[in-house]
Amino acid sequence: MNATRSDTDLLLLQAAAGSDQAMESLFNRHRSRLRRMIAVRMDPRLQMRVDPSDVVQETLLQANRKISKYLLEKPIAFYPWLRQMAWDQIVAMHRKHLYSERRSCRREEEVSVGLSDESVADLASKFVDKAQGPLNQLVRTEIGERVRQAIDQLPGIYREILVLRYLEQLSIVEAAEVLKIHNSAAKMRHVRAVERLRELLDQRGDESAS
Amino acid sequence: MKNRDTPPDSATDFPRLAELVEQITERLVVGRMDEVDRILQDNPADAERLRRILPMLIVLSTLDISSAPSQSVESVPPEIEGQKTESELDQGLASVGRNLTESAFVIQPGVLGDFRIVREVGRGGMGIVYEAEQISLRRSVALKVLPLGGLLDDRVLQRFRNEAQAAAGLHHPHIVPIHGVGCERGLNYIAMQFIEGVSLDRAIRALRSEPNEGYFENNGSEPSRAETIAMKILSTERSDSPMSFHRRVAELGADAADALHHAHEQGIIHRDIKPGNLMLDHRGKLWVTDFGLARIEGVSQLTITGDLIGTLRYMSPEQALGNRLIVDHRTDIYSLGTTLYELLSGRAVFEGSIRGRILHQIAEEEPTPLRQLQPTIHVDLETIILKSIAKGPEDRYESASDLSVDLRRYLAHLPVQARRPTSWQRAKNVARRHSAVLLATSTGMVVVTLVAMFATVLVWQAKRATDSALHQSNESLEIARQRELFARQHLYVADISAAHQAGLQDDQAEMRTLLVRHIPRDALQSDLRGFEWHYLWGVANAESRNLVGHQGQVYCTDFSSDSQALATGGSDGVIRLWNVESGKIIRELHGHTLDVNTVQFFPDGRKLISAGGDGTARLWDIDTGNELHSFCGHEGEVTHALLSPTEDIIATGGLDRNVCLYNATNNSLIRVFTPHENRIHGMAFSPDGERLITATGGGPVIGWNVQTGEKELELTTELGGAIKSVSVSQDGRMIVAGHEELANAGQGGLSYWIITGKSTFVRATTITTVDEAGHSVEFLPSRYAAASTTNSGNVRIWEFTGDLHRWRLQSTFRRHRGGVWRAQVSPDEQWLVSSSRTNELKLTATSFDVTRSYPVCIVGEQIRSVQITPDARVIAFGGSLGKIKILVLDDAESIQPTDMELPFGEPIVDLILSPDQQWLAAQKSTSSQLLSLSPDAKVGGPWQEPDPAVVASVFSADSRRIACIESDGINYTELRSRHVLHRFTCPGVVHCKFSPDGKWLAGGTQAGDVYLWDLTNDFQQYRLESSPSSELTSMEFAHDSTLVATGTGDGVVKLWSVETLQELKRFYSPDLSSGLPLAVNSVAFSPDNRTLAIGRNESFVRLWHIATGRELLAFRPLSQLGVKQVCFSPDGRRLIAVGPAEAPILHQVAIWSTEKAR
Repeated sequence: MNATRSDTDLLLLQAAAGSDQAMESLFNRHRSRLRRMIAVRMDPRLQMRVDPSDVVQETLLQANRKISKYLLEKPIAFYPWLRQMAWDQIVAMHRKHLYSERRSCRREEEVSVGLSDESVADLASKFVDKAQGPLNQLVRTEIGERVRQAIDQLPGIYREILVLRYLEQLSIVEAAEVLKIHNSAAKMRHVRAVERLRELLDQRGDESAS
Repeated sequence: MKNRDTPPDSATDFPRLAELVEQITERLVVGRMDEVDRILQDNPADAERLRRILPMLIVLSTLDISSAPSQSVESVPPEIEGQKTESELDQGLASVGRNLTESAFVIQPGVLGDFRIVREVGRGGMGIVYEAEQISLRRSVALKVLPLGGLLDDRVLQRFRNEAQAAAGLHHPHIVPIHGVGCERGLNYIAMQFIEGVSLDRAIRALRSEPNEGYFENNGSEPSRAETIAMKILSTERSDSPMSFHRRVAELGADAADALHHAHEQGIIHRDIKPGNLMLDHRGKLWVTDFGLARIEGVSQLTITGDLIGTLRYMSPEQALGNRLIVDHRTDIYSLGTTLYELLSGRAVFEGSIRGRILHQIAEEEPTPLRQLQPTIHVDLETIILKSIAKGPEDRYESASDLSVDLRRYLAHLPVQARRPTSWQRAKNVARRHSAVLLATSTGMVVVTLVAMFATVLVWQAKRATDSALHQSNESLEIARQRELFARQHLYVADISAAHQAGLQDDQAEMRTLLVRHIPRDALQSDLRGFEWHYLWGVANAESRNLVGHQGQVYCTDFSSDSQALATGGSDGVIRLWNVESGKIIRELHGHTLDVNTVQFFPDGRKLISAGGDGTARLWDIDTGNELHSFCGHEGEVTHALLSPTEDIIATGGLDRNVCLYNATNNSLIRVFTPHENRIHGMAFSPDGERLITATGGGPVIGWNVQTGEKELELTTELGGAIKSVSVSQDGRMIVAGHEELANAGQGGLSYWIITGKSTFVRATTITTVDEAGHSVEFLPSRYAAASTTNSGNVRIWEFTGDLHRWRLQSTFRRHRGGVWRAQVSPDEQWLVSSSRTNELKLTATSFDVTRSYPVCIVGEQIRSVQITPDARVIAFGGSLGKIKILVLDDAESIQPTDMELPFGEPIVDLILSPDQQWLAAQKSTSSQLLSLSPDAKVGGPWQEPDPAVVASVFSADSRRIACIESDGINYTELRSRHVLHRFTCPGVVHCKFSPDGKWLAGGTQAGDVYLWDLTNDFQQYRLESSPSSELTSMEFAHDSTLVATGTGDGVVKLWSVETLQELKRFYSPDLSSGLPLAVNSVAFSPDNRTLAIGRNESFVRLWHIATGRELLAFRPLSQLGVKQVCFSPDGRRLIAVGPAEAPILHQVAIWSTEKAR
């Protein structure tokens, strides 16, 4: 169970009672998280054409339409529900804008939007900056590459949990819900991801040393 | 569990590692490296592995997305196709590089959501307090971060949020405003206004050490300018003139009292008023902080520092001592009094430094009169303070505002209201105090005083709406009232649900706290409580009894088969028999000269067999207390003595590693054998008596054929802890062994086997538990559930989920202070007895869901139909060969069964008794028959001819009419004359029901359509506006005939208005386990029409709250195969459910009662 959820529940109740204000604050409180998630997930090429804020807005409109059905069924917690809708939007948009023209040269399954390459770069860049302190540009670039390759090599499920936790900033409980796995499984996956990342970095280091 | 990607070299406990990583991550988010170090130190086993990934975690935890991808985005070329080219890679790396040089890209340390952590300003039981900046509003806030968010359980978190939200609603010039409550990255926090100033505890410390200005030494940290100024205000006053200092303290006290009064009016009690929670800002203004948060501490048990003593010192006697007394707003008055006392005198009212000492002082000692410490204090001020800190709440000020008024009267040189206690009062106080201590220490004698209180944000907001609406029109007032009611109802549902959960965890105090706030505060407030509240209240106040009599430890217990008597034995060598109801000793059996290791009743309850450390097993006559026989087949201690379920064999086991089998009729020795190389730790018979199960410490568990002495079964386990006990389920299909946990090696727990044949079995997943004692594991009498014990004093109930690899921890009973030897549930599952190494023997009414349950069977037949009469007194069962069984329930909830042999000769698929119990309509497989049960006609009396056309019948509430369903319609018939009053044409009709007021007949079809016919107005037909969803399976009118509930084959219950024919509510909860469609078998309205009980093809009886449409709770009855019938008693005190038990021939009647019959 998620801590945010109980708080959200209060607002949901009020929203159910017809309070537009509650609905508004419900959306407001998740707006920035949604935007963050969309920014992480949306292809940068697409981001040049579509502003993530528009996606947020569209998601919230859709949520507004579907909220009564949601309140009746409550299949999942509120934020994961919102996020799922945003996700569907992104997938649809990717399909429409990016892949229709180039289906011939990209495999179909790549429509399942993963982490954009830029997010990988982003993760990598942060590693370099945080872990190393002042270094000259050259060294930084080299390390940056190493980190980036390590993240590239990280199995998908591990990369996903790191993104959920650190880029989307979901709590472990929410991440578990999004991934549809148990809390403890999410925690363990998280550790494994971090450990694997560490291993990959070490390997890279060995290679470049030899 | 196998995890493919576990590093093979690792012996680390992976879940624990994952948990530690979570803790570390939480610390890192707020930048607490020092605590991370501590975690590493505390967990040396995992430290190396943690250190390896720590740099990763540090980096990840401080990632800040806000500056992120959009900047790197533009540098990436739009086409990335196929293989990455060198140039792309370069560009990607360039973007990495660019980010690093861009000034915008600064990772902010310790950013938590919208808050940037500036510095730590303090820590306490509630967690850590930071000064922080709210980024969006650019304002300074104090951020309280709850410790270890991930480890708190849901209830605590829910509670934390409720209380904090309630406190957030307080607006008062002297209350620190709460800006919000939230959760970021799994950390729960409260954001409140940052008060630039100093807390009074720092002020007091500083004042004490004056004139050295010693408070700068505090914490080693430099005080801020604001703190210095705040301090100055106070200390200057004190050094300038004691009188003006006293007046200053009185002013502060009056301000604080005003703030408290405001909160009390909202139903919020602070509970932790102390100098540390009163702040003085740089203008000298007083602020009260941390409202309502105190109670979180008690629950969370995560108090970080030794802060508790600091808190205890200011606690009122009722709060510090009262186990069960309910604490009201006057506790705050007391605490404020002690704070003012300390401020005035420079010393605490009670200066003790150990817990016990302080408790004693709070309970017993009169405080030193203030003027002995500070002669310059005005006598009126002293009187006011003394009145505030009176031991008895009734001797204090009635309200905080009274205290404030009196303080201001003192300030204005007016005579104060407070009077000094007379000597008579003092004498009375001493007497009462002693009884208070008595009350606090002896449980079960306490009269629970109830003080209405309610507090959560919903109620508060709704109340505010009510207040503001007062100034508008009456119309909006009504709307506002509706909203308040709405909010209170939702709160009610949430609390009921939480209280039920608390009950399953044996947390009665929590239950009472949750329930008590729904007691109406006054006559004007509507009472929302329904059956479920009263039921839970009964559970919350059920008593636990210490059985006193044994000298030393108790090792063994046994209930008689009727659950009326309990036998116990232990280190004093005396077997004691107890009356379970009264907790009194009935008889003592003297004879064993050393420890008694096992006791067992004979099924008739007249004999008992025991095993003793003196080398004998003894047979006792309970009626006379005489020893009938002594079995001396062992050399040395006898550890086990058992009677087989077939009562023909007595088996004993000894330290000599032998098992002796005796003929139970003539006590002659049949056989001696040595089952294991090592000492026997567990022995049990299979229910058919044909097999004896023995277990030894290191395993295996072996099943021996009693007749032949051959080994039939050898059960092995992967758990390493020594087996200390073994138990066989009632049907013999499952065996469980308890493994002792030694030195936290992770080897303790339970092993289960499912017996599939004579010598075949399946090993179910073991449960590796923390802290398992292993000495006692026992199946519960009626189901696949077992009680086990821990080294730390808990008793746990495990439940088999039906999935071989999933066991559920149903309940944890926190019972003893030390390791538990024995835990046993009585055959009727109403009592739990346990004994511990700490010499305790406790008997408790179990807070399992069911108040009582009865097994029912019709000999030689399967039960095919069940019906409960509307008065909930008679339950009729129809059998597969035509026999009918009728149970009559009396007020004491005892059941008197009556077997009626009726020569139907074919299965009774449906059975309906008329409400006056004069008529019985039996639906057989091919026809329907009606018979009269009236006293003038003998049972089974005049028969109506079987009518092959009728498929079901329903009686009207006055029992004068009957509706007989045929395939294409319903015949509405006068019962005695058999005169058909009307025929309703309704093809496909499967269900019909009369409304209680006799005005309506409702009929539902297979397709899901429901019609209402007006019996008082020309049989006019109406149709409920339903969209056919699924076959109608049940239907019920509310008691006031205004609502009708329909249940369908897809598990949904809908509620309709009879007047508008509209759907009002819909109740549905998915089946979590099976995924099968859960047809609704029965629906029942509580007599007050507030609660709906729903029985479906699942093991739960669900209660729904009609007003909110939310589920209140799900009772789990003993029946596992679906709930066939549910019914409330007309007085609303009982809920009855009937359904098939494990075996199809056996049904269970489960009763939940608001009053425990005992």
